[in-house]
Amino acid sequence: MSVGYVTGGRDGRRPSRHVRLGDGAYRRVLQGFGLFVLAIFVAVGATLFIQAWPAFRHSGAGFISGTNWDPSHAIYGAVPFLAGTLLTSAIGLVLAVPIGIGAAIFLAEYAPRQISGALGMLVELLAAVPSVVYGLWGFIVLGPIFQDTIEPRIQGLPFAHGNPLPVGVLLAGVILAIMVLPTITAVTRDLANAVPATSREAVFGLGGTRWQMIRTAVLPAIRTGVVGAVVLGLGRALGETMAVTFVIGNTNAIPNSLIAPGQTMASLIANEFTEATEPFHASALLGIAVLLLIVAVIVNVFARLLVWSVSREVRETV
Amino acid sequence: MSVRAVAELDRRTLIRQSARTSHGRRKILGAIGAALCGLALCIALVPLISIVIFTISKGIGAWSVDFFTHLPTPAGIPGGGIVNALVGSLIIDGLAAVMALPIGFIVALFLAEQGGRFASTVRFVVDVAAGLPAITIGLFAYAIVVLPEGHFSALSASVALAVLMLPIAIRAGETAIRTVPQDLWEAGIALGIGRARVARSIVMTSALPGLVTASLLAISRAIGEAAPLLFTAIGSQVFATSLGQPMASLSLVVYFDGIQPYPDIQRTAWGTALTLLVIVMLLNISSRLLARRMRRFTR
Amino acid sequence: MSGMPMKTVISMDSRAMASAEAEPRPAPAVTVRDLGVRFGSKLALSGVNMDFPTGRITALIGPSGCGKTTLLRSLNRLHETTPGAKVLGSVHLGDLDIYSPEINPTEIRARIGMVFQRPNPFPTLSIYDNVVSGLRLNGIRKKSILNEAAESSLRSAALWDSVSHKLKTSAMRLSGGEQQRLCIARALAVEPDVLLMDEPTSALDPIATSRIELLLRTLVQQVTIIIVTHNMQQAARVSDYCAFLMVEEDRVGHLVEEGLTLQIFSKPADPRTEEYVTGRIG
Repeated sequence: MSVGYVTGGRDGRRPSRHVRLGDGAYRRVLQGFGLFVLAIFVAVGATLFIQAWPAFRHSGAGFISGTNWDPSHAIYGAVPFLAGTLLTSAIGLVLAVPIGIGAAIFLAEYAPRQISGALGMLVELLAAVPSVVYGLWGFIVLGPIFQDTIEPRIQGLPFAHGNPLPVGVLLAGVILAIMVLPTITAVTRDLANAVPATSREAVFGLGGTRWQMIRTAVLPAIRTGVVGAVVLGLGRALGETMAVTFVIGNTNAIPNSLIAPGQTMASLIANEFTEATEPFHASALLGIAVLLLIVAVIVNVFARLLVWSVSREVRETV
Repeated sequence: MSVRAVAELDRRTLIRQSARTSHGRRKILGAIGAALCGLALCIALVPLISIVIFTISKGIGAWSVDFFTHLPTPAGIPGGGIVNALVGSLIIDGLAAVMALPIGFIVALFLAEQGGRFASTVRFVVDVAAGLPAITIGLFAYAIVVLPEGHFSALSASVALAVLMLPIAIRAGETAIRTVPQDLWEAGIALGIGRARVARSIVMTSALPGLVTASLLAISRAIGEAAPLLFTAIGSQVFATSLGQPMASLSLVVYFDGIQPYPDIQRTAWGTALTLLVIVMLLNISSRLLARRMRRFTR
Repeated sequence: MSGMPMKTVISMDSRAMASAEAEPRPAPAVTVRDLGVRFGSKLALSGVNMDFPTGRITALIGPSGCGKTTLLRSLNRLHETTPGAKVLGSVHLGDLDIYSPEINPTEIRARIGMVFQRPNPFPTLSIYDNVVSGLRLNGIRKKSILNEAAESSLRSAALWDSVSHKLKTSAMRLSGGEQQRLCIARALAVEPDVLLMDEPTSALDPIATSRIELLLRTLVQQVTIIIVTHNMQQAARVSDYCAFLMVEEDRVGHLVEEGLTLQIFSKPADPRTEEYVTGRIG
């Protein structure tokens, strides 16, 4: 059987999973494609930066620190949109994380197997619903509900003053929460199901109740993975455009209340780019895109490092 | 009895007592915890189910033969449809798939075959790129296609969607190729097949179901995107098939029509949303079924 | 696994045998009557009747699938955590019917502890937190009690000297054998009457295995031990009493014979026992 082996299978040189290729040129072609793809993604960042450069040079550091966005006077400050993006994403996560984890724990630990499987699949399918559909529903269905029912109720609270509108930061945050929920739930449920029976039985063997078992054997084991999923969800929320654009209210000011309208970095670009005729306007919008890109990359790198450290932990303890 | 033994006996009694008395409290805490989790599940399901129900109920009213065969009409004039958007989505996404899938799968092969720092770097960058906001990729396509050409086009939209689809195609493709058992790789080499490339054809063929699954997932993601199309294909009211022109797409119709105040235009938006939802669900369910059949086959 | 000839499994003489047989059998710690376990519609174990003597080590032996682990897990109501499992018959801890509806399974499990096949310390907890986890789960918070119990049970598990200076470090840093002794300490910390052990050394190397086997002879002064093992030599080395279970094509898992280890291995009453301990089957 060793006759005809082109690779060094028997001489120990072959790395375990990867087959050494006999054809060097072929290998280089594959590497070339890898390099090409790498170049594409780097080019995305570089191109945007180049296009945004005129605005950066024009506004200087004021681009990031300025609170005023006034194209007609060529004043471009990104703070209102940084605030809008962070606020809506924060609301989204604050709502989605506890609900998502709670729902996942119920599916993994309490629901009978059939129901858990069916509901789990339903939740995963819902993760594939396009953002425009979320946005349409949010605008036409949820917005009026917010205006008529929810916002008047919370109007008295300190951070929720203003007139009830069918658009606003809170509404956008809630839509983001709904969009991020399926992913957090699905990942948490999968992680919980993967906790080995022997960890669970250790708790039962000591006289723990089912809830104690969940708190002692399941939750700590899935902690890092869940954080990774949450950070990934954050990444998605930060860059979400269409759903937010429907309901954010297209107002270029730092929102001073939860029910006030606002603007995120993504929605600003969506709303203004096609009409950007003022000097530096288009370039400034591209500058906003660069900021958005930087934020998204940082968050995603963090998430991937977390996921990478989880799989390393698992490998070390096995 | 030694002092230690007496102490242990006391401890034993203490432990038994504590176990008994704390039991009631622990059970109640557990019940509350379970109830909260169940509540969370209900809260999570309500909006999701509402979206599906609303889309179906409001969208089905818009569906008709005219809807799928006519061009859009201005507000107030009945008989309008989304045929240009249907064809537009098909063209734009089809071209994007043709651009992204082959490249993506070759890179997937690269990652599955080769270890080393370069491959790990590529994999890491691809994973991070999967989270890039779609609108920034749309602006990228605007900068490299629309600006030089001087006009909006379906081609630029396809480029944007292709960049969007790449990470999915690469990672899902790598997973599919990795499920091919090691023996098959080695058998190909052992047959003395000169060109490693030909040996690869054995591997790629057997990974085919997984690659189809990966393709379906990538396409399903691309079809739903509107943000990258805003400044590339920008939408259109007429029937367009040329790649150098602006073109309509289902996702753009949902957005542009959805924000308009006219009820019949909004109904078109719902109808289109339902169409999108059906297409995306069909693609996802098929990819799932295929993946399940594949798993059974390789067992 | 080929067996050794019968007479070298236990090296003994007739005088040792006679003195062992002359000792009165201690009162039972656990009594099992007509015990069976059904998973869904499939019966895995049936009709087991036996006593487990207090202060002794009883080994459950038999070929794979004979139901020895199933029997073990029915002694601390662990089957109730598996959906679809049903336990038939009765199990008594002294006078207490452990399956009585008035008794909570969690109480029983604090009195009948368990050590599992693969060491399973809680990976995110330190050595100290692992050892006292059982106490905390049962509502004990007082530091002084926790500290005392931790030292006492780590000493019992022959682990105190190696870990007393690093109690706050992660439990996963310990070797496999040390982790298993940590699990033993953890189970001992809640002061059970009985310690169930499900093939506790099968995942360990021979040195770790022999250290734990030696440990068992000391531990049995504190707790009654019931140990499942697929290793006959281990059963012969370690246990005072032995129970041989068997499964056949036409018969589900059942108890064939039980008694003094010396007797089971030298003069078994049932021919199937003799075949198993001499290595002809299993």
